Amino acid sequence: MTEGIRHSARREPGWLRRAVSCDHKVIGIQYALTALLMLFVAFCMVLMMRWQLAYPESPFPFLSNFFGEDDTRMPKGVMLPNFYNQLGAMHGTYMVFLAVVPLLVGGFGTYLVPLMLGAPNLAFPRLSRVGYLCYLAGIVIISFSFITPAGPSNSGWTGYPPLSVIETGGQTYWLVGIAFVYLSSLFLAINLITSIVQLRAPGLSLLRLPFFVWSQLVTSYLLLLAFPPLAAAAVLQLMDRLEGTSFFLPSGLVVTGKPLDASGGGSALLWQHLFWFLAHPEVYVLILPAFGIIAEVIANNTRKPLWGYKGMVVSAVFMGFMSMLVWAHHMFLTGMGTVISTFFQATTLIISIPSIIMATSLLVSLWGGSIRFTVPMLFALAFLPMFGIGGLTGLPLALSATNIVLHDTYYVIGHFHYVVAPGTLFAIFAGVYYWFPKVTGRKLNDTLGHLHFWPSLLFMNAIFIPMLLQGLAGVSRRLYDGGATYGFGQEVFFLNKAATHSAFALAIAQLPFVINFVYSLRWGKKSADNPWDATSLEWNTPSPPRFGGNFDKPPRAHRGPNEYSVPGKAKDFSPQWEPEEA
Amino acid sequence: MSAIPHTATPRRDTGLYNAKVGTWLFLAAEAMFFGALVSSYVFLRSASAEWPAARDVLPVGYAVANGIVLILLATASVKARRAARAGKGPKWLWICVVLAVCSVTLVALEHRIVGATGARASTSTFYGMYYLLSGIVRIHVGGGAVVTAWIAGPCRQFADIKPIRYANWVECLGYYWLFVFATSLATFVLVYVV
Ligand code: HEM
Ligand SMILES: [Cu+2]
Repeated sequence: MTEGIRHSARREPGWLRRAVSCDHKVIGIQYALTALLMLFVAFCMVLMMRWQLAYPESPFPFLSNFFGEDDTRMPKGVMLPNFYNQLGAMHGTYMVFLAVVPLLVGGFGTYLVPLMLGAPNLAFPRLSRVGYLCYLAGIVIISFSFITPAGPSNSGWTGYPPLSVIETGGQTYWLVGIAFVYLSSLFLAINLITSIVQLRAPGLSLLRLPFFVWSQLVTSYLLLLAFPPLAAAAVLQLMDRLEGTSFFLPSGLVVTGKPLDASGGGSALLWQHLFWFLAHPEVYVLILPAFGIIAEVIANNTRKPLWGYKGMVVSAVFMGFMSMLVWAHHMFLTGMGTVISTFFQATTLIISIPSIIMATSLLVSLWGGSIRFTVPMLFALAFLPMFGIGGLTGLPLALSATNIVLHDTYYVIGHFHYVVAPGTLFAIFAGVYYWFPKVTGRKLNDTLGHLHFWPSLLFMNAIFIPMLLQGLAGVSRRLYDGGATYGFGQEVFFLNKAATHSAFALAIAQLPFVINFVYSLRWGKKSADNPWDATSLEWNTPSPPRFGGNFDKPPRAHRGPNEYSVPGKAKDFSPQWEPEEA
Repeated sequence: MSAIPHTATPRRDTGLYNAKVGTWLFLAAEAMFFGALVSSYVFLRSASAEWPAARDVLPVGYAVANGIVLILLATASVKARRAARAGKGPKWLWICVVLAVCSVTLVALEHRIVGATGARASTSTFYGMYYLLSGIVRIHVGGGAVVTAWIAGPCRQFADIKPIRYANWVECLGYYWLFVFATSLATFVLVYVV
């Protein structure tokens, strides 16, 4: 007995060896923690911006003494326009490229996919380590621009030229950083797809994969195929900035009264095409894994199989394919011509069909279930209507006629934040509460979970409904003073205060989560291996799963992913790994 | 530490080993990367008022010579794969390296000659595109040379320890060289012929 313990103690490597190892769980946790930190940083940036929007020209609380009289960003705590633009660009960049996608694919994907496949690791463990390092390099490079004298890029997360080419701030850092982020997501995508194709346990046919794995598969294809054009575009823009080419600079450009010293002959629209060819699929990268998480949580907590599993799989694949054909709905106002606009309007309407099928399937899955209102389930239930609002507000944007009045207003900001904030972020929270016991061996506290959920739901809406209203009133996005000096902004200016106060309240509402997370790591209730009575293969491991190998013995799948409440069975769940009793 | 399945031998239902799937996916991404550059080329060219005929202003002989070198390189990579499967020495891999170095040198010479006429990347979008496309091909050939030399040299010991995996690596490398050949051919046709 003692012999056995000493033996296993010798085989478990120390924390340092683990931290630099290529075990997918270690790397997944590192992705997740880094990305959560980035989420926090990006949230802090937007809090500063929100203050400026509600109280233009008044000093940020507590910061007035921190910044000197002649500071170039916030003299005496009052934000200058250029710094507002820089924070805006960085908020979007951090959120999309450095927080949410790495969290969903790098964190949840890297950690969970091999477990759900019944595999000991990803197909290319070292590649996944290199990918994480590329992600870190991207963070360091982009963040470094904050401490350069000129500061970070100020040309938006979309990096539109000509501004992005002629601006003197950190756009070069942005481009190089994005190139590293590209490498990291390329490696992630290759790894996840290869693993899903090659490493499925015996018996785990494609249609027995949990929907979460399908969502990661389609997402990985999007990252694989849509990101390279942005990388190419980044190379072109780097040449424009460093080599003086004019790929994105039209002829005859005049900047602050002087003709620009460049050969010209390029096209600013080319960038928009290349950018949105990535960035529209990227929004599906933001939503598909969220659907994957929600699907697992809903099946588990309704104690029923997913309604329309096959339909959801087909929808996800179709959505992935179509998402490469809708990009120019971001460009209706660029004068592409009515024929092209009509094409992209049609494809955009078509792509909303699979989204609606997926959301509806999840909604119908609730029907007749004996729902357990656990904390992950609360987030999942809130996800559905929040995503609904986000998706429905997209439809007026998709029609090229109504887009004319809505484009570049706060309505667009409201639209996509409904999809990604109370949508995707809620899915992320659902996932954290749901898989925390598997990852750490301890459960998160329920009371603190409720204290986190309810205020978050309230304040999310209190932040983004005002934006939709302001946008309908005509307030443009990217205004540094929140519309204070614009005629159309007057009647709805007070909404800025509502949104800002709610944003700060939302920040406070995250405290229970942070406390819960840290407290439960150490003192949380010990969790069994399968605390939620779930069915997919990741619950067939010890909690936490074995370092280097995951499973005690190689699993085999005997049935579909969500076989709950099978008639005639004693238990209300039939795990994939349990053989059919004779 | 449980072993990862299918690192050497193919999985029965897919018929593939892991590295082959990974390589194809990588090349798919590369194809999208080149595709975007080529689309940008077409976009800029069709939008621009004047676009010189490449045959008249660029030393086309070098490009042709480079194309021939890349054909030889692709052929050598196929030979290297056969040799590796048969457990023979790394001769063909080293031939690939030499040819790749020739190709990189040819492009460098070509850039020297074009540069001597005073044309820089910033001169016009035509020259910008020319330097960019040929430069990207050159980076791919150079990078491939480094990896090939690495597999032929330092990794050679694995030919004895894990012969199947070693031959797999050489096979994947071969796909890469075929891909580089195909894209540079496409670039050539686009810039000089169309
Ligand atoms: C389901 C149906 C959806 C439709 C029909 C739709 C439609 C649109 C359209 C037409 C625009 C361009 C608005 C403009 O700039 O004039 C837009 C913007 C945007 N959408 Fe959606 N969308 C949908 C879902 C989503 C989802 C699921 C996400 C993210 C997860 C998303 C994220 C975004 C973002 C980030 C932008 C703005 C990007 C920017 O300009 O900075 N959308 N949407
Ligand atoms: Cu879009």
